[in-house]
Order: sequence, then C-alpha cells, then structure tokens
Amino acid sequence: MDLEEVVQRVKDALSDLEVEVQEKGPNVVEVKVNRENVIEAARKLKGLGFDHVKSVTAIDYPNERFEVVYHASSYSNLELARFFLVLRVDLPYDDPKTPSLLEVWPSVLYLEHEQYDLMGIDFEGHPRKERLLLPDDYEGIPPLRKEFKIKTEGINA
Amino acid sequence: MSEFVETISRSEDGRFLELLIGPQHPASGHMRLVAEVDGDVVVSLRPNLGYVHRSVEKIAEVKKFLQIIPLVERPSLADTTANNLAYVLALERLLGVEPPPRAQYLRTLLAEINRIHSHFYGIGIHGVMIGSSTAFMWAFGDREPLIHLAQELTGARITYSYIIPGGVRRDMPPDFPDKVEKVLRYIERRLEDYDKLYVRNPVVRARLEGVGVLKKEDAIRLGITGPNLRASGVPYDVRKADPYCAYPDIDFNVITREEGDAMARFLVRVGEIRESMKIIRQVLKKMPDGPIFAEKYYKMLPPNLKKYYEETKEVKFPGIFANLRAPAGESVARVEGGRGEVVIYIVSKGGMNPYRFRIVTPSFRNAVLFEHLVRNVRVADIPAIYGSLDYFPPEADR
Repeated sequence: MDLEEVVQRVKDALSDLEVEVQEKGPNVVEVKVNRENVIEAARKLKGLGFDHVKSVTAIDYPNERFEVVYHASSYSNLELARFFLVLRVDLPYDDPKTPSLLEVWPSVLYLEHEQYDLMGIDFEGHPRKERLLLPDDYEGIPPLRKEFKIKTEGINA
Repeated sequence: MSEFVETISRSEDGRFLELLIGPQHPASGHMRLVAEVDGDVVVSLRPNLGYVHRSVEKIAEVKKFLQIIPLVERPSLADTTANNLAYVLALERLLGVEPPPRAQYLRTLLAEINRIHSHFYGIGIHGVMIGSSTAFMWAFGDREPLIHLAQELTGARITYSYIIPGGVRRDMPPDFPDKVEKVLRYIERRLEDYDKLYVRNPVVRARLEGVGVLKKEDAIRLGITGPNLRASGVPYDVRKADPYCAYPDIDFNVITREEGDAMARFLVRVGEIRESMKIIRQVLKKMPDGPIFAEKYYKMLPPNLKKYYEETKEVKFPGIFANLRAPAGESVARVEGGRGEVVIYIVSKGGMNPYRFRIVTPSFRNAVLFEHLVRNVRVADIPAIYGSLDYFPPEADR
C-alpha cells in the first residue's frame, strides 16, 4: 500500500465531514478537523484500521490557539502500520476544551490524561480529572504552557 | 509481601483494604501502586506515577538541539540508544540530512548491543521480583560483557550519546568484530544455563504461567508496545513495520507468542536476545566501508578537525554546531527500543530550540497494564506481573 492510496482511503472515509487531508513526508497522512467532528472522524479512521494512538500532544500558541495532535497507526493491519495518521484539532486559546477520544481509542487513556495534567487541556468525557505526573497538590500554570518559564542556571551546558 | 505494606486503610464497608505498595522502592520502583484487596485477592489496582517526573519535554524547549541528545537518554538508563536514535532520526528528517551507510550499520550495531543488555536488565529485575536471586545476579553479570562492548565502541557504559545528526561519533575499533564474537559465544553458552536453571524451572513456571494474561485484542485496543505486545500474538515491530537504519538489509524474525502471560513476555525477551545476536553477526559481516559522518557536515569542519577526523575516525563538532538551527516544520520518528516503541515528535519554528518537543516512551504506554492485568489475582502475583512488563518508572515519568 502506498501513501497515495492511504490518503485516498482517508479522504473517502471522511468525505461527508469537513476535514482537510494531506500527505506530510513519506509515511505521514495529516487530517485537520474541528472539535465538533473529531469523534466522528476518529471513529471512521478506526474503521479503516487505525486501531491505536501512539502519542497525544497539545501545543500552546500563546493568545492564539491550542492544538491537539493525535498520532495514530495500526497493529492489526501491518501494511497500514508503516504509516502515521496525524489527527489535528485546533482549540480557541480561551476555551481549551475538546471531546475525549477515549470511547473510540482506549489507548488515549494515559496520553490524554497527561496533556490534561501538563498542558491544562480539558478532554470532555475523560473520566480522570486528577493529577497524573504532577504532585496531587500542584496548583498554578500547567508547566508545558509557554507562560510557565523555567529558570535556567545561566550556564549554557 | 509484608515488606511492601506501607499503610492500610479500610474502605467504606470494611471488607476491602487499601494496600499501598511503594514508593520507597521495595521493588515498586520509584512509583506507588494503590491496590484494593479482598483478603489475598487484588480487586483493583492503580499505578501512581510521577515520582521521578522532571518534564524532559519542557526542558527540551530551552535546550539547543545537540544538548537534547543527552537529555533524552537520561529517562531510560538501561536503553539509552533507543531514545538517542529516535531523537536523531526525527531531527535528521527536519534537517534533511542522511547519514552514510557505514553510520547506519554502526547505529544498528549499538542498538542491538543495547537491546540485549536492556533485556538482561529486565530479566534480572523480573527474577529478583519473584524471588530468584540467581537470575538477578546472573543477568546483571551477563549484562556486563555487552556494556564493555558498548564502551569499546562509544567510550561510555550506559549513556552513549553515540548517534549524532549526520552519523555517529566514532568508528569501531579494528579488533571489535573479534571481541563481539567472543561475547556472543559466551552469551550463547549462558543462555543454555538460563534455560536449565531458570526457564525450565518448575517454580518459575508455576509463578509465571497463566499469570497476568493479556489478550490480543486488549493489547491492540490499549496500544501496548514492545515485547509485551508481541507476547500477546501481535507481530508488530518497528524494525519491520517501518524499517530504519540498516534493518531493511538484515534478515531476522519478529518473536511472538500466543499465550500473553507473564511467562510469554519473559520468553519473548529471551527469543529477542537470540535474534539480536543474529542481527549483530550480520551487521558486522555486511558492514560497508566509508565515512561515518554526512558529507554535508564534514565540509563544515575546520581543517584541524577534519585532520583529527581522518586520523582518529572520531567526530568532534566545532562550536558552530552548538547553534544548530532546524528549519520551521515538524517531524516524527519512531524506533523499536528494548522495551518497545519510542515516538519522538518535534515542532520547530526555525530557531535553535524546538518549539514543542514530545517523547512518548514504551513504559508510559505500558503503564495502563498495571490496572488492566492486576485484577482478580493474588497479591503475590503483583511482582510476577510487574516484573514481566519490564516497566521502568523514570522512563514512564520522563
């Protein structure tokens, strides 16, 4: 299976949703979707064989937007396993909420939880709203946000 | 298990007890397990992570690209090559640099040496968790010859920082293949001993067989990775699925088992040690001649460092590389480390640091197995299952 074919399959599967599909690099298919459609898109992509998520990344563009990026791929279809499916969702900066994809991909349980903990993204429907990696009593700016500055020692080592 | 007990609190109806295991490292590792027990049976268990979290992802945002190499190695001390390689592959995709063939082979060589000693580490810890001190002593002893080999190649025992953008830091010493062959023969003999004393030991089998069974569909659904995935019958290995370095030219098998229990996970690791030895022999046989460092960067070296490189076959970066800039864009890379798949995702805005750096380690993805597998099992099965996962808290916490 080559990249073109995967892109075509993704386009066909998502044809009735408002999405942007493009190829990025030799084995990366990128899908941009708004948060209203993200669960539906994920469900259709899972139907194509993208059965698990390898990484969930939230990115902070201060005073502009947040972006949540899912890297999915396949275990059950080894031809598809060569590809990364990148699902991107833009969120407004003052309302960083997006539906959790847990009901589609159980593999996001810890990955979304981590982004909630460290970036302060609210994954609606995610059952765990407690700390994961940070101390239980941590309060303040989520540490992966740009406004959280880390002190360096001034030595560039 | 009495040494695991920290405090006990009673749940509402008084029937279940909450049992806290860790975090003061009585084999819990730098983490805590919160178990709810009904007599001797674990009703539910949740891992409590983060005791050794230091946010590598945030630190990477203030580090320069070369400084991130040692940074990503630190969380996974038994398996540093996987993180080093995954990071450099992602960075090279961003920079548009391709290492020469000899460097690809040297990377593969170190990755496989590291895989073997990482597996010995996992087997040793698993052994001591189920009460076999011999397995622990043996595995940690037998890790040593491989660490010596890696040291010959890279100059360091554990944190190699060997793989750099465009190639590797040093060429292998001329007598290296002979030394490797000696070690591999030793390990082959030792695996026979392990087989007699440990693998076919009825006590070990009684502790591990049928314990902590992970079904194939659950392994896929939960996104489990590495030997833990393959022990449940999923033949996914990044080296085959999305080949990198020299793996496309190498003949090896993906070890899988169908049982999905603690024994199967252990046996997959033993099988992978044998496959890694096969790979190392082929790599040394097929090792191409030529440079170990990309032409593009070699040209940028000042004359004295070029001369040093030609004489010693060691790469020394001049100061200007400290300010290496990556073009705006993003890249993602994955490699198969000893414990599973390492995924690194870099978002660059064209500066000297990444704008966003993401590292997902195999232990973090496998952490969900604690709550999935440790249910309706005996308390004494907790270490048997834990050990079989080859879980490493610093790697999960990052």
